[in-house]
This record gives sequence, structure tokens and C-alpha cells, in this order.
Amino acid sequence: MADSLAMKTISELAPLIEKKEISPVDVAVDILERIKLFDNEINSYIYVTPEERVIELAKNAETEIVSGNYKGPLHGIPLALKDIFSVEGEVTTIGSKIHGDYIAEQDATVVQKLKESGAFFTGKLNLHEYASGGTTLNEHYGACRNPWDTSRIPGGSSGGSGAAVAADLTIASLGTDTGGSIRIPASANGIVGLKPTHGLVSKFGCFPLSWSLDHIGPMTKNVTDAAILLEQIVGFDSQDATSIKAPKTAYQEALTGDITGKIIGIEESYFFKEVDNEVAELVRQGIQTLEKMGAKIEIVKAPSLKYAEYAEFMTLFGETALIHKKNMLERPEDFGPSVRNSFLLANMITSDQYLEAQQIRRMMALDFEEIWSKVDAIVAPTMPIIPFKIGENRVKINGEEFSAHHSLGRLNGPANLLGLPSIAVPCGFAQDMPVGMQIIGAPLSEATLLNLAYAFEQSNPLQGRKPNLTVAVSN
Amino acid sequence: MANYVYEQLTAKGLKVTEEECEALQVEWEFYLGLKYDFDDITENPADIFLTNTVAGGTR
Repeated sequence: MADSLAMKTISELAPLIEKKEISPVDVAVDILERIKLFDNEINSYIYVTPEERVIELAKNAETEIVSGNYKGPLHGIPLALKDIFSVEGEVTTIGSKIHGDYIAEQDATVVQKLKESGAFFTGKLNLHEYASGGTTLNEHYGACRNPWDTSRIPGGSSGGSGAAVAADLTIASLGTDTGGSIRIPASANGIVGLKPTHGLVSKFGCFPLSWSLDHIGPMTKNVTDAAILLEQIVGFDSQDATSIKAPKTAYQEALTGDITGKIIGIEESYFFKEVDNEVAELVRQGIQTLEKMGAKIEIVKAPSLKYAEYAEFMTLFGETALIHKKNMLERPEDFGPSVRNSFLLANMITSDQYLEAQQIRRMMALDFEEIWSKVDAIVAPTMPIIPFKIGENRVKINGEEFSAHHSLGRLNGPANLLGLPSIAVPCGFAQDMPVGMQIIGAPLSEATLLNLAYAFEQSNPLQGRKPNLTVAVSN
Repeated sequence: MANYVYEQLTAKGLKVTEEECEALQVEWEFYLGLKYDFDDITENPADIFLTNTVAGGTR
């Protein structure tokens, strides 16, 4: 397995496929072999596309490429997506029993764009039911496990995507992020996760959790792959009411590694409050690394962040209560117990509370507008803790006990509330588990964030380490 | 408060037991506590955030 094609990145595979040195069929077969070997333990896939179909899709791509119709770096690349995106004619469960037989009539816009790029899919990945939670302890399709330590959670809600990318059970994936659901599993699994600016990537065909907080973005093995995927999935879409018309940006070309003069903001009172000391230290070391590379550091303040968690929960509750209203009334027993509880809580909200949350968002937007006049990005921990053991409900942070579930997403909500881009990138290990730091920027600053993350990645924070799946399976 | 939670949810036609409401009450109070002193701040009534424009239209 040391030379497995499945362990390569998009940017490594693409030139080999383009030059016809390897076939997409070889990559697909390798992926399927690894799924057979390792996914019983990890449970990252809800559905694996039948082998014959995957081979057929890979051969189609190969034929196109051999015929001289190479489409670009995703042509012939097998991907697997979170099972929340509609794929025409296929079951899209959204990790639920209620949608267990739901067959989409039309591709989600991102699926359509990936198909147009020549990529194909090996299956659909596990998630927290209806994307409503950060553990991916799915009560219908089984818990997804962290490949670095299968007794621990992979984060969520895009936990299957995080685990599958880290374990080389797919080359790359897409996730969704309403309060950290791309960045949390990226951090927990030692991969890269990018939540773009709200509206930059169409959400059409993606089942909502909270319309104004939901985002779609890449989950990849490295920053270059995130740039490649982002470039393919962006674009205005009239089918998504929140879609925006943004200037076309060549994200891959932005990856120069030169960050001289870039100004990094550090916000202490919110982003470093109640953060595990080991995690905080790794992120501070990461900031120092960026400084050594030529960035400048500036302390920033955003007093309104004090109310960010309230705004996040009240916005989420208000919107999700309506989305699931009918099923909560007619078939509440078909939700998993923990998700049903969340949706019951969501129904406690009043219109006053929802609107207060929108006032807080406005206050935060003004605070951050001031920040963006001074700095290019804010660097912060992605999670305040390392991934906890499956089944744990309480965690200790520097000796003090907190709700495990609440702690997972605490540092991610502000970027969702404001629709700001944020990229999670690995920054080292604590207790043998990967730790991530997030780089948050002004709206539409993805190119800057990707380049900062790319520069940092050159410091090799994971030192080439990969999950030891042989050990995990034999345990 | 548990009684309030029960009344609120059942008034909406949701199926929930009074026992379940004990746990829900603890969580709901936690979320309400995250509001801190928002009711007292001078910026209120602030404008609200419009989400169909980038960053709420501040750019």
C-alpha cells in the first residue's frame, strides 16, 4: 500500500493521468480496494458505488483523455461526497431514516460541476443526521470513526468526508459547513477544509440545515487540491437565492507561497478563550511560523464576538425548526434521539430571539469590517479540543469541564454568521491526534487565505505522518 | 421552566414527555445564558443582518 495511487493528491495524479502514465481505472481500483480493507472499521461510506459502475465511469474518463479531450485536473479523478448532495437517480439519505429512500431527480449544482470536470464518484459519505451535529455518531448508518484513533470521533457533520480523505479512501471530497462542519472534521482528521464566502458556491441541490449559515466547500489532502476543487465549484447560480456574482479568480495561481507583508490578526478574547493549552500552543507556533515567513502580526478586537454563540444557535434553531417542522410533527420517532432533541430545542425559539440574533450578526459585521481594514486574515484554533472518545459527553479543557458537543463548534460560528471564508489547515499533533488552525478572511479573500495556508503547509506540520490503518484494523 | 418547555412544545403540536423536558430545559437555559448582557447594550436596536449579500452588505 506504500505506493498506493489512492494515497496521492489530485495535484499529483492529474499530470500522470493527463500524460496517460496512469489510468483513472487504476486509481479507482486502488480506492475500492482500500475501502474494502479499511472502511468496515472507519465507516466513512454510507454507500459504495458498485465496482462495475466505478470501473465503467473510470474507463469513460480514460477514453475521453486518450481521445485528446482532457478537461483539466479533475478529469479521471475519483471523488466521494458527503451524502447531502443530490445526485440524479441515486439515493441521497442526508444521513437520515426519513430520507433513506429519497432519490433525487436532478444533480446538485456542485455535483453537476464536478461531473462536467470529468471527475466521478465512488460513493456517498457518512454524516451526522441532517448535518445537525459535530460527531458523526450517526444513529441510522453507524458511527464514523477517526482513522488516527478509531476510538475517537472524526468530527462532523462532514465526518465521513474527513475520515475518508485522511484514510485515503477517496482522493478528495466536498462537505457542508453551518457551524464548522467542514473545518471541524478537517481539523480532527488532519486534512484541509475550506468554507468559502457565503454565496460563492451554489447550494442548490444540497439539503439545508440553516439557509443563512450553510456553506459548501472542499475537503482535501492539501491546500493545492482545495484550490483546484474550489475553482471548479464556484459560480453564480440563479437556482440558489443566496448565490452571488463574484469575479472569477484563479485560485491555483494564487499559491505562490510568498506571504511577505501580509498582516495576520490575533483575536484573543474569543478565539483563544477556553482552548486546550496544547492546541493553543500549536496554533501560536503556527502564527510564529507565518511571521518567520514574512507576515506581520497585529492584535485585533471584536467586542460583539461575546454574543456570537447566542446568534449562531438562535439563527440555526430558527431556520432548522422550519425546515424539519413537518417531519417533527408527523414522524418524530424516525429521527435519531439526539437529533430529535436538537430539533425539539429548535422549536423553543421565538421570533424576538431570532431577530436579536440577526442584530448581533449586524454588529459583528461592523466589527469585522473594521478588522479587515487593518489585517488580511485572522488566525485561530479550529477546535478548542482534540477529538474526544466516541460516546463522551463532557470534555475537560485545562482542568475545567465543558459540554463536549458544544465545545466542538464554538470557534467556527463567527465565520458562518458573517459568511466569511475560513480555511482549516493542520498545524501539528497533540496527544498523537492532528490539530488544525483556521485562517479567516474578508469576504471573497479565498485566494489570500489559500496562499497563507499553502505557505504554512510548506513547513510540513504533520511531518508526513498518515493514520496507521493497519494498527487501527487489528485493534 | 420544564413545565414552560413542555407547554411551549406541545402547544406547537410536538410530541414530547415531561421527563424529556427536564433535560431540554437545562440545555435551553444554557443557550439563553449565552445572551449575556445583550439586552442592556446601547447599540440596541441595531439593524439586522441581510444574508443575501456578501457580509451583510457591508462591502
